[in-house]
Amino acid sequence: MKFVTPAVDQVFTVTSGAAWPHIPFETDGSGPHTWQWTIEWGGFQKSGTASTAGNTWDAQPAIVNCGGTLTVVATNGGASASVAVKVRGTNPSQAEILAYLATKDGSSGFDRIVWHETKGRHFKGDEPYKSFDNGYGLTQLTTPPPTFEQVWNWKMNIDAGLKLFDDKRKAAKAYLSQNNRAFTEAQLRYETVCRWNGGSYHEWDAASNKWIRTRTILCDKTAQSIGWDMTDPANAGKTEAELHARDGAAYSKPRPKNAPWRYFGACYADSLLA
Amino acid sequence: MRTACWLSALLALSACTESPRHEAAPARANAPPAVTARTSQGRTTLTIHTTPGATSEVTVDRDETVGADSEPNSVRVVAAVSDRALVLVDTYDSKPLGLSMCQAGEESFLRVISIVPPPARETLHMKVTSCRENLELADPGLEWRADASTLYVKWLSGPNGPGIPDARRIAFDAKGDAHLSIERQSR
Repeated sequence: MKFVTPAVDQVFTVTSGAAWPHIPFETDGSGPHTWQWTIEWGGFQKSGTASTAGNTWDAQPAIVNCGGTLTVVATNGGASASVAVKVRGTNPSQAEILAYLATKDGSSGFDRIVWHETKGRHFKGDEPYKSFDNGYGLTQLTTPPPTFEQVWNWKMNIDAGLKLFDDKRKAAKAYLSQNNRAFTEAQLRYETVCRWNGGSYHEWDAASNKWIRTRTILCDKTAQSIGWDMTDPANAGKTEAELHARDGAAYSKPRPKNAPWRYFGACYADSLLA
Repeated sequence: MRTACWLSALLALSACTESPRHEAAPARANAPPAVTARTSQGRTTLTIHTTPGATSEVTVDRDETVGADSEPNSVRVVAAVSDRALVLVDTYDSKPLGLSMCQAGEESFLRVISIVPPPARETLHMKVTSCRENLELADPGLEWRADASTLYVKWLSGPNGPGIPDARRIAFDAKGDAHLSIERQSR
């Protein structure tokens, strides 16, 4: 027995909209078939068995949301045949990412983070992007470890990242609503994006009875999340230009522990949301 | 009605102020011991300056949210318990995740260090602030009541989930041993 379709190493491509392709298998046998399949990529693996009354089987429902190398062994009576094919991906467009996030509650601000950090890169070439620290896909999931499906399906990857963002949003709400204080949607967005990077964006101003942006942080507008604590005597009284001239060359190196500049979530939020 | 007591004036003066990073202040009579911290092999060694010229060391664990090479940003003494134990908080940069998550975040651990009888040893620890785990203390979040030898820990966003307030009470007995309980009182 042998496979009629597909060809060995034939490539099946997931669309930019994360629609999985049909992958039809057909042998030259007849009667009931059993299809043992395994799909694997980068240490992820999923396998199973399907049965059909005839000699054709579509693998799409079995392997949906997964990619890599799909190996299928067909058995028909005492005969068997094996074939391996490739499942590959396509990066989403910015419009597709934004449209997907627009359907998700509480995602305001996360779209900016995802696009700013990745420029929509879920796949490197046609396989999932993997960072140096094993962060996978659009939202560079590391902890908790992503599933096979979250690694390959950019929508599921965004869903997992959005869960982390939603946790930040809950913490931001708790912060802004303490003592029954009022806040705006814009303040919640800034507070959430700030907390994604670290720290709080707002401080309570008793005089005006309002939340205001933390006054003591001056950001370097040429560097995404770098700024200065202006209560630090090393920075007090200096302008952004003076501080940048002093510290800018050091940004590309590991930050010394006692450096007068540092990363601020407030600067990150200012940079992304302005 | 409870009276809030955000540390004693003595502690506020000598210990609650964040010490300059790794800087040791000499121990003074009637002052809680100064504590310094350094990283060694992914753990933190705390050096407690018990009396002028005398020190005691104890090595404690962080967790996976802190980089193995990350030096403490600060260590501050929250309370001295009958000269038998110290409550302190050590703070580190968060180990960042993808998409710059927690690049500017911090992780803090509250520890009870028994210093009498020697050697110094950690008898209790808990995570009190964390960018990675969405832990945020209320203001005030650590409330030491010297009259009751009790520390109250109050979170705006606690261990039960992001945005969910929570509280713990750590009561010290006459031997300086810590007893942890969930604080259910509305405070």
